[in-house]
Amino acid sequence: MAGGVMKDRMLDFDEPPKVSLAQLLLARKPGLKAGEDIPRLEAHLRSCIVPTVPEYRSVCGLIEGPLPILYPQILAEPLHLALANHPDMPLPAMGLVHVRQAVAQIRPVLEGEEVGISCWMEGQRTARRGVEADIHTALRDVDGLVIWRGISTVLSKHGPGDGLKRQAPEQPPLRVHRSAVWSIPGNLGRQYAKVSGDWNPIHTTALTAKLFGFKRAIAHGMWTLARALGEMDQDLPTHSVGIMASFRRPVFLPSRLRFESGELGDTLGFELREARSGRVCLSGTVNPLVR
Amino acid sequence: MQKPLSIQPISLPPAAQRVSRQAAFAEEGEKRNRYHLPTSLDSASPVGFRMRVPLSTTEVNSVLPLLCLERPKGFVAGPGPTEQELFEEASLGVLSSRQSTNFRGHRQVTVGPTESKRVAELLRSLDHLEGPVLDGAAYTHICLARPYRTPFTFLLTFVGHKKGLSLGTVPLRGIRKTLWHEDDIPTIGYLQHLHLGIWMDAMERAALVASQGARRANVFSAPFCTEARRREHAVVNDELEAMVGMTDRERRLGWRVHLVTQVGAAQQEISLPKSTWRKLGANLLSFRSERIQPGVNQEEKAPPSYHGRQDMDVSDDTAFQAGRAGYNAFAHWAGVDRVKAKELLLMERVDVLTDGGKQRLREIRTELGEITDRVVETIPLWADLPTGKLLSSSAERGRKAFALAGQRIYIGGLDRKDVEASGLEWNQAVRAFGAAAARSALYCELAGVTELPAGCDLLAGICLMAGPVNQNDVGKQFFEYQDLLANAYPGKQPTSLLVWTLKAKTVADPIGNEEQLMNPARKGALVDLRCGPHEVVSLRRGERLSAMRKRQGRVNAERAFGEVGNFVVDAQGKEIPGNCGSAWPRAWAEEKVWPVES
Repeated sequence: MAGGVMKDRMLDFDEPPKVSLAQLLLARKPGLKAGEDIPRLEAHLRSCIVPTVPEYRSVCGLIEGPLPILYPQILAEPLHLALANHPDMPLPAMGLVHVRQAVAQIRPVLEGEEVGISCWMEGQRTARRGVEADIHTALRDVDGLVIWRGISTVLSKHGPGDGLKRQAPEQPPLRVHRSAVWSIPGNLGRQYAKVSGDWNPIHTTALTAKLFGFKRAIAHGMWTLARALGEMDQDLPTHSVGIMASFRRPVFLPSRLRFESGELGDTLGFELREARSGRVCLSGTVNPLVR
Repeated sequence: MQKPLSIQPISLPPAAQRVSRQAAFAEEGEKRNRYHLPTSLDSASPVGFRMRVPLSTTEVNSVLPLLCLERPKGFVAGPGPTEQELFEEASLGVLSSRQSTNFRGHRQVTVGPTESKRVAELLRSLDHLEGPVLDGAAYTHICLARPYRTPFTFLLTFVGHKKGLSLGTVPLRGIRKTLWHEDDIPTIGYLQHLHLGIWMDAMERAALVASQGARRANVFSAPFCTEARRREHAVVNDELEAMVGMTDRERRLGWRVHLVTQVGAAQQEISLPKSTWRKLGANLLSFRSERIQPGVNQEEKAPPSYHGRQDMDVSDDTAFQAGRAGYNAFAHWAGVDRVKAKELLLMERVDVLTDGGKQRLREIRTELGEITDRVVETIPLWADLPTGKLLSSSAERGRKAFALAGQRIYIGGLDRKDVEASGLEWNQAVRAFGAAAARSALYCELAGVTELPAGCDLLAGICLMAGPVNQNDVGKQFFEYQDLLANAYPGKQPTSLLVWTLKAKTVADPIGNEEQLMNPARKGALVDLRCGPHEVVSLRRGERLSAMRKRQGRVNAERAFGEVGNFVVDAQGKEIPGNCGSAWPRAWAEEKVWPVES
């Protein structure tokens, strides 16, 4: 394996692995059958230097400062793909739907800082129309201390679902402090792909998105979340931050979205809705982390 | 010298008559009308839909000196502006000074202290300056405008042609309008200058309010008020146009430099509590957040609050002070004394409260109706029929723009001969007239929020209308009617320019644009036609011009002075989604625009 060593289900890399779209597309995955579990799979990048990311900031509308809070997810993306492409990973990578994202930033990550990245996944949960799996990510500083954690929850229909509709927990109403309408251009998917390296065809063009069952290209969930965090700006905790977000429905490109944020009980809540229909595309909360 | 003003509050109606808009969102399946709140607002404008903020008599009296500002005598050294200060200044200036919402004819390029020195040198080389050019400007606004062109002026292209000749004369007029910026009727040309006058008057206050009394504006208009004056100073004009990056295409479209405003730290700061400045700023935007139409909302479908009688009136004292504010503004901008200002400004009061007012109003309505009939009759069929009679039906719809309703209605204008005999340039006098109209209206609007009680949206509303005088001008130019002011001033040759309609009431008008609320394709969402800062304001840093509040793929969503929280809500306190906006990132807002201090 280029740049890395495979020890059973643990992948170690000295530099970010390269997994091509063709590899993911052509990989034959059986899916998950009843009684089967996703085995524990790990991938580690020993060290990398956090780059400066002006283009990423520009595409996501973020101000200058420490590394944007979601950028570690992009740093970890090659490892995620390596896990998805692992021969023991039963679920096909194409068709995994990102449904939730949790982030804990213990302290701001700095551009130019040396970090190590670890990713792993193990097991799954039964969902209504398939199975959900969590991909864990951790960034460590040179002293080995975890400075950032992420959990990406993906849904695959290539597993046995239980058909049960789950009720979302009841939430207090959002007391809106910010309310803005965004115009999302049709080429956003390609713009984001250039800065994130994620050229998933469902994001890049309407034609390729149609091949995967979407009526138009859809915005990358991590873009919508990054843009939402950028909109909240000074409302966000400045140092240690916890974020929970649910991607409720795809954001088709181009589109107009309405962003709202404000008090949600004791937390800072946010929602992104289709401007016309009012249907929620993304919702979440932000909290200061208590260490 | 301008005379000081004092507030004359509007008397409250009996408690039972104190009603407010109480607009509601349409229920699921309910047919929308203009009395409903829009489902959302999509806008980069700093204005949004605002409610008026009550001010105490003391607060209003403390801000009234802002309605009689003299030119600053000098600037002192002071900190350069933050991006937020410039945004708020533009919000009270170019982004909200009164102009038709469907006409984007104003732009502003703001240059920093280094270029301001050069602009000052250029200004000093000009004739016709209204006052001394000052050293030490922290920044300078170079203000551009183009001729007034809207769907209404497109319609005018087809008006007033002879049958049989129209196939030739309509295209000819269209060409003359496009290439030489000629106007169909003179008052359309004057609209540009009225709007400029409103803008320059707003800029003086905007600099003060945005800086909380720390900065003053020194506005120059007269050297740029005619093509002839621009030609006199072609070299200066060329350099200013280069500074703002004007292209040949923009020049062909009629864009020109019309105002230059130096802004610098005031020698004497105006000290008011911060809360007063912020409430004033929020109020100035609230006055511009809806199109005021006093008295024309009592249609059948209107909610009960619009139908009830309200025993209240604009007193003579209030009207007197409003008039004083107007004369102040005219004297200030025209550079004449107040006696001369009173001589030059022609006013006729035509409301039902005056002797013979009912009859006079009826005559005006009849005359404007007749002119509309003749316009509809004479629109060439070859243009009207292929468009499904769009032109004639648009002309018909225009009737509602000429409605004259209100407790006090004034027609105002100028006599060109008198103006020129006074040594004034006509366009500059028209600008001064626009400033006078805006300032007198602002006085009334402030009176309308003074000691505003809970349960009332306002105490007085005012509407400045050009529609009736434009229609009268159509009659003058094509159908041999006389000016609206001709009977009131028999010895003169008046040109009426604006109509004020003023009414004391506690219910604000419906929000927004009826068509957009009721157009099924829009589903009740309101697309605000007001500009965002990135569309009309540019900042020059070094050789680079950048749009204000367009950065990293984002554009402004902030409502200026939004922390005052005067956003329109329904009776349950529910906001219009998108209306309260979202503050611009603080790190960007707090940046010094030109890091070197002036």
